[in-house]
Amino acid sequence: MIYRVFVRHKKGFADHRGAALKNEWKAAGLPAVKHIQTGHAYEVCGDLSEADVRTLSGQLLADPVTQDYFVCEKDQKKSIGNDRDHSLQAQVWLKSGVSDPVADTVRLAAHDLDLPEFDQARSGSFFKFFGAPAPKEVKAFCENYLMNTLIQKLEIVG
Amino acid sequence: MQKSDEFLSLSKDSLYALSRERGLSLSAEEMLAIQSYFAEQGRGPSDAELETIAQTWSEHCKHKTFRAAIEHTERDELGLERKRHYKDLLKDTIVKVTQELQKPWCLSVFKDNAGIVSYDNKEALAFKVETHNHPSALEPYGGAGTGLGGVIRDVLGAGLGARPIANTDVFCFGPLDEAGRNKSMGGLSTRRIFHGVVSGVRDYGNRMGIPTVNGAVYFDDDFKDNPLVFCGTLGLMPVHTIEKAVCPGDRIVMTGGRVGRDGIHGATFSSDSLTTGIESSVVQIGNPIVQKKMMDVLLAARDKKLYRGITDCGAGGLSSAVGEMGEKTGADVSLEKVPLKYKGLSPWEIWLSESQERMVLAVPPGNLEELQALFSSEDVDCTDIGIFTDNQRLRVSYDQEVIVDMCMGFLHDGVPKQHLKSFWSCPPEVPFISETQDPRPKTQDRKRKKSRYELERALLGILAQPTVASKEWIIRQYDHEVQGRTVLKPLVGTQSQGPGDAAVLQLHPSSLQGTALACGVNPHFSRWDPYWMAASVLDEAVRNLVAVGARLDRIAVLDNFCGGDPQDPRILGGLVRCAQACYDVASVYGTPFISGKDSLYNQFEWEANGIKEKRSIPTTLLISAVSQVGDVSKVVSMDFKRAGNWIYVLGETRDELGGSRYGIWRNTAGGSVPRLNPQDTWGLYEKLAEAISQGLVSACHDCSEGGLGAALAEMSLAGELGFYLDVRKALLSADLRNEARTDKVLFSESNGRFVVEVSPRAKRGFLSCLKGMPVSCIGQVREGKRLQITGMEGKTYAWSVSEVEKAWRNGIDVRN
Amino acid sequence: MNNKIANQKSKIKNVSVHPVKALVLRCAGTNCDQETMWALEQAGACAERVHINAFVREEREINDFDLMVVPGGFSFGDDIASGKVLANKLLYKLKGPLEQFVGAGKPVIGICNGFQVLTKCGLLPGVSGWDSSLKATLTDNDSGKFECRWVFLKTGSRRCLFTKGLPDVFPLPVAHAEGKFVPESEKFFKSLEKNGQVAFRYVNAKGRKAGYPWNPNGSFGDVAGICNKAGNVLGLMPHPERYAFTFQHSHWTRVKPLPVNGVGLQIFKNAVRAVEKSKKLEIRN
Repeated sequence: MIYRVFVRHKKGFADHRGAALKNEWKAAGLPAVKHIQTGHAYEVCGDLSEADVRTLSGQLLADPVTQDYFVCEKDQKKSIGNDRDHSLQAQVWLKSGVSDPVADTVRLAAHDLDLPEFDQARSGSFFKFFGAPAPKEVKAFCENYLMNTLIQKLEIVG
Repeated sequence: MQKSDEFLSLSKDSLYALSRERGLSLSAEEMLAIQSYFAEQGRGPSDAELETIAQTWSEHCKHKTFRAAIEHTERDELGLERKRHYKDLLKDTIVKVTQELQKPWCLSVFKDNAGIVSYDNKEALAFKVETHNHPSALEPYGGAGTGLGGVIRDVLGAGLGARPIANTDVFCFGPLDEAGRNKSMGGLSTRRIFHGVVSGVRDYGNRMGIPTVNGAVYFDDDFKDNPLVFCGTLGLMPVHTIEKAVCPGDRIVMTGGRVGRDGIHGATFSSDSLTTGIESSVVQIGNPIVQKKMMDVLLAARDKKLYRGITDCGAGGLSSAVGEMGEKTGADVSLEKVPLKYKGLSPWEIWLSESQERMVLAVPPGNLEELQALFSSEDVDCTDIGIFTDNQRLRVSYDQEVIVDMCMGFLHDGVPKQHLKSFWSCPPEVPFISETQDPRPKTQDRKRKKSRYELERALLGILAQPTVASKEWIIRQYDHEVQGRTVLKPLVGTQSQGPGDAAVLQLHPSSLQGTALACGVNPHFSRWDPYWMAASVLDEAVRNLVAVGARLDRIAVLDNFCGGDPQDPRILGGLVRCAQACYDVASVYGTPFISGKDSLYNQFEWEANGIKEKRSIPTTLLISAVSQVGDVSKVVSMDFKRAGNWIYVLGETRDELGGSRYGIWRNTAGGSVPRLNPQDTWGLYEKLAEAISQGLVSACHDCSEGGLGAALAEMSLAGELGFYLDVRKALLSADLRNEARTDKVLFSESNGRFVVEVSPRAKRGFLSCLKGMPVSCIGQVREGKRLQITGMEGKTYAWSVSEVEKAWRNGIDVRN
Repeated sequence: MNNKIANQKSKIKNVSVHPVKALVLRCAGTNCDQETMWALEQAGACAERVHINAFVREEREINDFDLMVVPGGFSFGDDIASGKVLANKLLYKLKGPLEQFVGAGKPVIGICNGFQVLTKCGLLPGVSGWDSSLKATLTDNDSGKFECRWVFLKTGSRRCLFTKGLPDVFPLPVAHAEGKFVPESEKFFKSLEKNGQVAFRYVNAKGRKAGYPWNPNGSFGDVAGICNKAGNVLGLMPHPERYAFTFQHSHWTRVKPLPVNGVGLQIFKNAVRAVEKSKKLEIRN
């Protein structure tokens, strides 16, 4: 089973990166977005239950004071937050074969929580664009400003 | 896979085509030499053998251009031609000066991964500077980070291993405002490259716990398609560990990271110019924690004497590392033992992979168990992958399949020597722009609604040029305090806001001895003459060391050349002039070169309207310099210290505005580029060093970009003090004095000059120390926040400290 | 004067106790261990760097030491979040021995990454012992970037053993990207203040509250360091080991007269003296 975990700042904690990206979006001359939310994304694959993944998220991946998290199965293609909030979530993942030190650390650190061994892990980022932007614009923005298509790939959900 | 007989019967043209097709970056002559060797063996080469030779014979590894025999022709202003023959450019210039100087404190030069000099009778310093230009253009974060990772490993692999204690970084980018960039080229914008490089080097260096203490950032249109990323590391080692050895019977042990498909073709790729359409496998991504873990345990293993030899796995991966270590003995490698990141790699990929964070050790078999236990106690991989033999052959197999079996002698010495032609002609001298009819036009300063003299605007404009402006935004992202040794930091002054000339480290708290690091770079001068560019940057690096009070008799320098296509005689001619200047100046200064590197083919090729176009960078030389500091308590920083102190200019100012920052501001290519008379300047430096060691100097700053004007402004804003001075009192060349132009006096970039602050109490001693030297008292430091200069024509020019500081601080627009 | 500075030796009097054994805990990515050792030794301790694996594998025993420092660095690369992975190791693999260590009143200092570790495993704020529900954290700097600069600290709580003899306002360097202190609530923070657990706050050169860059990360309440209620565990973002010796000062070329030591040394001396005092009591008893 392959699970995805998305981690973001709780309400009340400023998302500086998101605010900076909103300015860049504007500077790129694209039609206005309401705001952009950023966060970390993790993908884990192995003989794990959802409860295991929640333990991993609560005890390792998300800081209980400042962050919350969302777990879903990879195939569900869901994004963090309300499904009806007219947002598009762009996920940027390292391509397979590219070194992923953060994923290596996740696998290592999971041992300390006595969780079952993973087969694979991957790390990435997500960017949620609020305000009903067009998928084409989101794709272009991500490819020009948020990722290097040589080593990363993009998924858009929503 | 090429069949044996097919390769052996290919024509010269077909061989070259094969090299291009396979991305080997080998010339037709080199392919012929390979064909000839294998014909003698009675078979064609395997893929892995071809790739191994391509890596070992790459420009990056063999420095074929600098080791070439060169027929050099120079044409002077009168059209007269002079020829000079170099049998081996590197040996006849850079290496020659070190051999002639014969400094006993140069312990290991030009033979190991880094140059090693003595520090005291117990310890030595290893220093290396490397470039990682091509990967940084493609993937700035990963490319720049792994560039730093690589030079750190060079120092870890110097002797039996030095502990990295300081990093230096010099970057050359295109203009951040993207003016003139042809976006249809594809590729990343300059702004993305800038942010990626700064972040990549920052994250790697910070995680390794090595302070970044010195560097420079240079912005010019010349680098918009080919950024330059120079990373340097200084290491400290016990003096008994400076030599390494490999004995037959020693195990070949690979430590650190695992192997993946990263960076295959990296070494050959960096020897080729960038074009559109590059594969992702040439990109390397680093993991600094793997390297930090490895470093910690390696140094412990060194101290326990568990291994005999070491080298880093850099360009070419295992093929270069094992090939190099086993050069005199021979080596037998079993690739199935190599730990992999993931399945599916073919044997040649394992052999040639440039996966990062690996070192190769030569381990006496009796120590293997203890070594492996030590490494595993800190979760660091350590694998026995083969044995050093005594048959002078390189043999590599995967299970029973042999993929490489050839003679070390051919691999290392079989590369045919290049014979090249180079050409240089002196560009016609264009006078520097003359003044308008009104010698001091008053222009309206819209913001302040007050008329400012053009000279006043010029100083602010120069300070705001990104190359000159404050780099604080970058510097503060790099930990420059870790390890607790940095006693003169990159930023100095009342609020740590001014630009330090050199960094000083106190290596042990129980001793006042220390070491100083500085650099010099100015590619813009190459547009006039790479000879004077090289002389100027070598002088700049030395001046920076002198300014803080470092010892003159222990200066060691490193050269890093970057240029375009050396097959172009004019470009090669520039490199030759550059190398010659290095010899000429270093011989007089007594500063041996201890290590160096070159990065060529920094050019961008594209096709427009069916025509192939090419654009290369100017000849660029970075000089990095290290020296000893006898007593760190005597070190001097550049910020003005106290009102009432006298301001002296040391050295003569000449009409040398060619290549100056002022020339850029005025948008002119005229003027003479600064020359250097090393006999004269060295005499002055010795006296200044003496004055500093006697505590007679309160502040000292060298004059470089922006000349006297910028130097004075920087000292002021760093010390939050004003000054009054009269440029008529400065020592000027006769022509400059006769022309009586304040702008030329303030902004000429003549070499060999300093601004020095001396207290009234120390004045007598100072003047006595500097007797017979070109010294002029031009004014005084003042309380209050006003900079005031009386010009050549008697007019007063003024600025506030805050506007000067603001212009300098906000020069670089750092938004994403 | 130079000899005095060059040959700095501890001025701890000869006492008939065993030397103070200080542990400098390290792991993958620890960076500041060497200079932390220098500062501890200058303060009179006998310091040793030990890898956490030695304790997890039970090859060594934490309670053999008298004093512990979790130094600065990038433990596990700051991957996921700074200090989180090492914090979990302490929480899930070493809780028992550490609880015993802290419960015995032995000094524990977490510097920079060490502060992050102690907070993210629940040893700090330590209002009532070890609280693994995590009442506070350290998150990204408001500036969004790594900050390497000198700041001024105002000494707060005098109840914690580390602040004795420190000036009211003094300089130290910081170097971090995730140093913003965040309590779980304002109410909780007030309880920390009431308990005297705010050891240091960021101020400007005049000792007054000020924004960026004097508060380099936007910490709630300008908090630079906190201690547990018992006063024997301190966590701080600034680096005292980077100003333990004279020439480490940010602009010593302008300072006259030169101080003999850096003020950061006092924090280590306080820890060593506290151990010596308790050993003397032990002997007496």
